[in-house]
Amino acid sequence: MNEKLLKGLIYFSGIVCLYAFIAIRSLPLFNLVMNEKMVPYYWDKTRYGELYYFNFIKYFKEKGLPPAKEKFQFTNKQASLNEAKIITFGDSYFDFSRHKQFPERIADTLNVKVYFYHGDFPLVVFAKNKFKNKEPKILLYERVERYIPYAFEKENTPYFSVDTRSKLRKTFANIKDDIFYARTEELLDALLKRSIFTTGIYSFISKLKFDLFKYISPLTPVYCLGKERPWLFYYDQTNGEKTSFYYHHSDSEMNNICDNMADLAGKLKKEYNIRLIYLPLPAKYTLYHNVVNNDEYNNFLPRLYDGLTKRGVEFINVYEDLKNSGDILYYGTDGHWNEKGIRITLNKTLEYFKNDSTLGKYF
Amino acid sequence: MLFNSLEFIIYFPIVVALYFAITPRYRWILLLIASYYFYMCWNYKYIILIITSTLIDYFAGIHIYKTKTQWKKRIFLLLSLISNFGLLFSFKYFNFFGDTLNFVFDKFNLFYHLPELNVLLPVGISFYTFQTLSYTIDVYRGEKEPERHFGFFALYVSFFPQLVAGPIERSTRLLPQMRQHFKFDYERVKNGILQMCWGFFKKVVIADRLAEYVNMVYNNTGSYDGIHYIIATVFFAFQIYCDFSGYSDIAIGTASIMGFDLMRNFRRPYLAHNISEFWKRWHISLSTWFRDYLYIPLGGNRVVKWRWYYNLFITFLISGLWHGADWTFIIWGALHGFYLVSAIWTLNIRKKFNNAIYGRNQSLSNFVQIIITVFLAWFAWIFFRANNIGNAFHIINKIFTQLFAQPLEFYLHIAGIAILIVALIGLNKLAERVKLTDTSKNLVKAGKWLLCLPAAYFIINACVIYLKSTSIPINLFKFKSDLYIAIITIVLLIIIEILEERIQLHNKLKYFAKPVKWMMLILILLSIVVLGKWESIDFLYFQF
Repeated sequence: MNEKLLKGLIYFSGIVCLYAFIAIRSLPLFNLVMNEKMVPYYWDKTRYGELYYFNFIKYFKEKGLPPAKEKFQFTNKQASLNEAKIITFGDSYFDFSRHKQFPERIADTLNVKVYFYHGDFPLVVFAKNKFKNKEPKILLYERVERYIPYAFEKENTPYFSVDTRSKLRKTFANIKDDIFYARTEELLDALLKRSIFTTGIYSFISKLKFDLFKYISPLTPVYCLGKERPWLFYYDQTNGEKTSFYYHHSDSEMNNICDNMADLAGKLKKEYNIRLIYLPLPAKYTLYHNVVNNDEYNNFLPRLYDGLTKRGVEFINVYEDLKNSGDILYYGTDGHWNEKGIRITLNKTLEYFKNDSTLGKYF
Repeated sequence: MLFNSLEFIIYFPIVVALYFAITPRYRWILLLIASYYFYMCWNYKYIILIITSTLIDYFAGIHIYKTKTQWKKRIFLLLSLISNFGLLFSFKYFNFFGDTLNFVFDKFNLFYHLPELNVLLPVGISFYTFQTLSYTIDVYRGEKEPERHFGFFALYVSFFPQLVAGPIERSTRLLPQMRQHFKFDYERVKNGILQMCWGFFKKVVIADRLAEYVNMVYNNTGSYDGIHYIIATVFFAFQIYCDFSGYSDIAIGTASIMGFDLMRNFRRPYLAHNISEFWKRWHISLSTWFRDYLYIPLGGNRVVKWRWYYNLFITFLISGLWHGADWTFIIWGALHGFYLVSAIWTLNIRKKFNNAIYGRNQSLSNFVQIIITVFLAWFAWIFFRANNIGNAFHIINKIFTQLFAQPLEFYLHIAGIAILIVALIGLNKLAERVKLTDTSKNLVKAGKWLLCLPAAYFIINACVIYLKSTSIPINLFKFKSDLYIAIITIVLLIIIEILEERIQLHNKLKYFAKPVKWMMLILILLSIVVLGKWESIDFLYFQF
């Protein structure tokens, strides 16, 4: 009896594991067992705040996030680089899927065609798309402060490597990638944490570990179970790295960043007739670290503004507006801003456009 | 693929289910594909090294056997040795020897620089090359007939449970098993699963937890006090033991489920009475490999004394080099060689000393011997773990400086402990020499226990004074509870090991009531899930 049971168990677990093995390579099979579906371009894992999903501890489940929306970048509202009057580059703040996205709002408010690219290095993107431009355009370049040190660590150049492999080699590489799938561990981890069969158990164990030993994901080491809402902070804002609230950038590091930002603005103006306006955003920990401590800010954004002003580089200063608004503008257990945060920034951006009479010729 | 990864947790049940589902005749094909897949998940290109090694040794083995003349046999053996050591040297040691030679050239103002090879160290290369080498040497010695079935031989080289971190199996043991058709054996499968669980417990609950503290201290040498280095070294001793023996347990359990019997690699090494015994209990598959293929061919102990010492020392020096291409590993090996040679030198003196001190009290003598052996082995780990020799000496210096810079109170406690030990030994001697009545015997026994109480008090107090002598917090874990969990699990491990050593705990467990056994299994599983660190930290021995 025992032997039959054990053998049966082995076959059963073999079948379940075989399903998992195939499912991580096949989106329909994967989504079949998931609580929240994966869409081809991105994870829609922000229903309860994206930082909650690193932990699955129920105390950090933020409720009241609006349902996910289709990303502007993948709708027919997205204009091409040639058509667009305003080109936008940005990170997940610009295309946070729980709200109408920032580039889409600009397009609708100003009634102009807007192109959005999620990422950095406009010169590379333009070169890859063989984009040639003569008519005046605006490039609104958003970056949350923690990414700025890396995005502008080096001079921006239009160079990129071209895949020169033959078709046969590419096919072989694709087959190899399917067999030795690079995202195996990540997707199996997602299956374990978020499948309809396991999420409850995983969540229970996580809560137990938190209750007993205060274990929390190393990705969100700083947290606070506030009276009004829980708070989780992403590790790269709280450690000692360049992305962090605590890292003191030397003058030469700041100068290097500002020089590279100015250099990019100059190149875009000269080669593409594009006027570059930066929109640096404060990180969540910069605005709300006081919910966990009274540590001193490294003043990255004010120093950046100073450096850009000295070099005559255009930027929109939203730090003070966001800091002094008196409202909570970012989600507690998500890394992004909420509707109020988006609105303040949008108004400030529109005000900037309105106040500059020379901007009229652009749209 | 790591054993402690989700990928393996998915991969293994698929392989086992298919293994028992298909006809035994074709199982070797499944296992060969599974083994190659297992290795290629880490780096698919490097499978070419395993296949090369397999091909060379397969044909070398056959030709060694076929050839009648001795010199031709030697040539084929040499071909196998050169190609295997060549692979090992190119990927593991070339840069180390290059750097060393460059350093020497610089010292002599010779402006020639050997180039650096920019290659990734293939995981497990030291293990599978040694395994295949043992095969060709065995065939050469006539101890084994060559394997004619290429598939079985390829599987012997690449068998996934022990491919990347051993045990280094001998062809005489493992190859015949490749031909066997194992039936589903309930007891074997059950025991295999239990052994895997125990291995996972050691790896993810103990070793990976301790790794946080050890890495913090050893990677930031200069930032901590002596006490931190002592704690980190003790933790490292348990980390490496649990990491490596945990891997071996998972490997043996994995193989056992499918019917294969892999050799035991660890036998409670920290309960050894001397360093020689330590090496009979630690990484047994490697130490026996060195014994059979290096130490004995060098002449072993059947030579003049100086040559015996040389054989011992050189064997351990090379064993150190096997562990890693760095001077720290060489010093570690040399230190063990030195321990063994000095143990032989001092054998008579130690015997006399033991008789004088402990007399017939064997248990006290054993206890002291274990403590000394553990101290020597742990001291050597400092070199093994340190990032470079400078760091190792810095750590040793810090440990002893802080030890000698204690307040008078600390030394008074140490003196107190010493006096109590002398008194204890004196009492022991007295009890041996004088004929005692039963009542007096009981009185002496009670006296011994009475002496133990203040001794324990002095030891605890001395530790407290020592702990207080640092301004840096002792608990360096990110989650403070991890220190307590680490200590509790280490104590639990020691208790289990002592019980296993003394009463063969695993045999006794058979007679436990079923609910008790189930409860124990559930406890282990729960602790793996709740207390385990599942961040896929590499097994330490992968780097060798």
